[in-house]
Amino acid sequence: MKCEEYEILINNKIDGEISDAEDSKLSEHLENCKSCTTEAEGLIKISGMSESLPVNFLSPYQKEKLWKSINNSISKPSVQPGLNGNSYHKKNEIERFPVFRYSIAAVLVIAVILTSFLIFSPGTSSSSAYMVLPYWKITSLSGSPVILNKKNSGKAFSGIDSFSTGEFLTTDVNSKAEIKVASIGALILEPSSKLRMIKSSETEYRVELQYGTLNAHIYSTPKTFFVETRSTIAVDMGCAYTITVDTSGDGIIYVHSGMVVLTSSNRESLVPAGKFCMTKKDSGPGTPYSKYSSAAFRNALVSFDFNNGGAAALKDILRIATQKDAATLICLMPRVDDNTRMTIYNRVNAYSPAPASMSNDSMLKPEALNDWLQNLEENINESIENSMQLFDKHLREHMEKDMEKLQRDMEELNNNLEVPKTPMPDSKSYKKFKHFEFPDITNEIQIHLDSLRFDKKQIIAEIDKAMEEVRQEIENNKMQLDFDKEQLNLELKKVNEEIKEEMKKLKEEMKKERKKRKESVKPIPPEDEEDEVKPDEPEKY
Amino acid sequence: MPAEALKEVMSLTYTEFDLIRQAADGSHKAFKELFDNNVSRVYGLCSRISADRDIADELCQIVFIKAWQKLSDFRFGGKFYTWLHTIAVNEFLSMKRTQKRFIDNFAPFPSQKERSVTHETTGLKIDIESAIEKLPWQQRLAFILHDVEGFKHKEIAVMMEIEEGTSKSHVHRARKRMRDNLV
Repeated sequence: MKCEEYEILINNKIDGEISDAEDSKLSEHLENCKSCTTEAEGLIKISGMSESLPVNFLSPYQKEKLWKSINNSISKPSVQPGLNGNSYHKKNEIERFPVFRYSIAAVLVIAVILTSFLIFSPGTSSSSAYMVLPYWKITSLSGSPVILNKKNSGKAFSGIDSFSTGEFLTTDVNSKAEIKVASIGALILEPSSKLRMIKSSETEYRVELQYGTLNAHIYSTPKTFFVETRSTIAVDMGCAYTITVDTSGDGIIYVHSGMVVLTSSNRESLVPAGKFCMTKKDSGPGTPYSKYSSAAFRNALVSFDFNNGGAAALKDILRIATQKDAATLICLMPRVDDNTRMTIYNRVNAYSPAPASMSNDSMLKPEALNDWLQNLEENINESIENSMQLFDKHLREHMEKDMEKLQRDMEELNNNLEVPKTPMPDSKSYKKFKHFEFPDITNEIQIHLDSLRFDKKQIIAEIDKAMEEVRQEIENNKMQLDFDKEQLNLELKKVNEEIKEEMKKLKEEMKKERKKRKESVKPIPPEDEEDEVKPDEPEKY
Repeated sequence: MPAEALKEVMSLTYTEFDLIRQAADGSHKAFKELFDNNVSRVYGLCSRISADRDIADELCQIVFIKAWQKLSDFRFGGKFYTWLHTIAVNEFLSMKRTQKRFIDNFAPFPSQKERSVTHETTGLKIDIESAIEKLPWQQRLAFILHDVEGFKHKEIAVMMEIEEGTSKSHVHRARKRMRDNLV
């Protein structure tokens, strides 16, 4: 290779685009070539100095002057974000009437002050005012989700983007997106789904799931976040849930935690944590059920909810229901006649007592049943925990017994297998036993037996260790959650203070502006009599 | 690729994201903040690539006006200042095509007509700046984008609408020329 070719390698090395083989070749050449070494040093020096050249060419005065010029251009109505008009050649009506322009400015300033007063007045949350955005931040988790605007023209994105009221977000089979719903939570739109933002305001956030699957995790006040589908509206009560609908509008919801109320024109269903609920386009939401409910029970529910199964289906439901279906029976109460309601009440009450505040009227309202459902949930959780503890205890005892027995068996086997070596028959005796051969395998058996022995204590220690790790994991997760909450609160406080500062500055500037205007208005001088305009005197002919 | 894009925008603070969206909705205040955060770097680029203060002023203004007009097109997959740099390069190339204020293949020594943008720093840095100004405009542009601003040849090729190999060639020749001038 010639030195000119090595020069290319030197430059590639400075650019960080050289392979290991080329690098070692270059290094070898530089050891023996002074001119290339000098060349390399010079080029490296140039590149190094260029990297550290100063950035700041502008004085504050120049910066201000530049901004004034830019601001004048972008203030023209013909130059607005999103337009491609030529900013330098168009004039507009407002420029010709400065007084009109100042009046508009004054009105806008007053509007800003009034709005900020309303925002910061007691009873409203300034932090939520700051956080309420007309657009939501979306992140593609895989593939390239597409944002469709109101005119149905789409743009695919990867990374971060935003979408606003009226726009659609769609995912195909390969794409998935996360949506930050202002400051109240997050959604994940699974593949093959379509979502539309309907509204985003301080008191209401509303989307429409046209088809597909949406995971929601919302931590705002209840009845703030709504998901509309063709068959129902899911009203968030502070929860995490997954809702899936098909293109016809039929769907199913599963509540991971908290509670969701599903409403339609003629029905309302309260879906507690750990429950599924189906919805159908012309019927609305069904009755929630547990994943542990039997298939027969679920079929009976579908018949009652959607297929006009009536009294027969209800009879089946009551016949098949077990303790696992207690929550479903409670949710059924608003939809049945008085007699059936009392039957359900008595049955569930025997298993999990109803709250003292439960009355005939409250049995008709899904939301009012919430306390009973929560009690039921607590009872179930307590009973599960007790069962788990009991199971754990029995399992340990059983294992210990098995271990002891196994140990005894192994010891016994070990003892029985310590057989002395059988001598090889000599030539004489061989003739007698020529049909039998006894190979010496006692050593092999001993080794195998040794490998089967195991330490009971070691196994118990390993189980304890595993359980400790699980406990620690739970503890860590709790701490992390607390930490995250604290961080969020700190950020909200900071933002709140920044807004207050800004408003103070604005008010002061307004005061100064008013003062200046007052000072600039000069008193009108008195009229000179000579200058007074006299009416025309009739001409004398 | 989504993973790389996500990594890129991890450095995009929520504040900058918010400013861009507010500015796209018409907020001058938000745009002023974006201007304050980025003007030094953009002006630095305009100064060096144009090697003319008047043109640098005009170019910088055009960059921000165009940015204002096209804010709703900004894709959050990349950094905001990178996008401003792309606009600056595009506008500069546009200028080169439509206006004949530069000699294509050879930049003259700084004269009274071309007021230099070199400023008072150490003697060696003044030499570097004046050496950059002496480069032919294509080499100067590629060199500034690569060695000063830190863009990769792939990115420069897209900005300048040339091949990646051509970008490398410009930068390598620029270094060599500067080295010869500074010796």
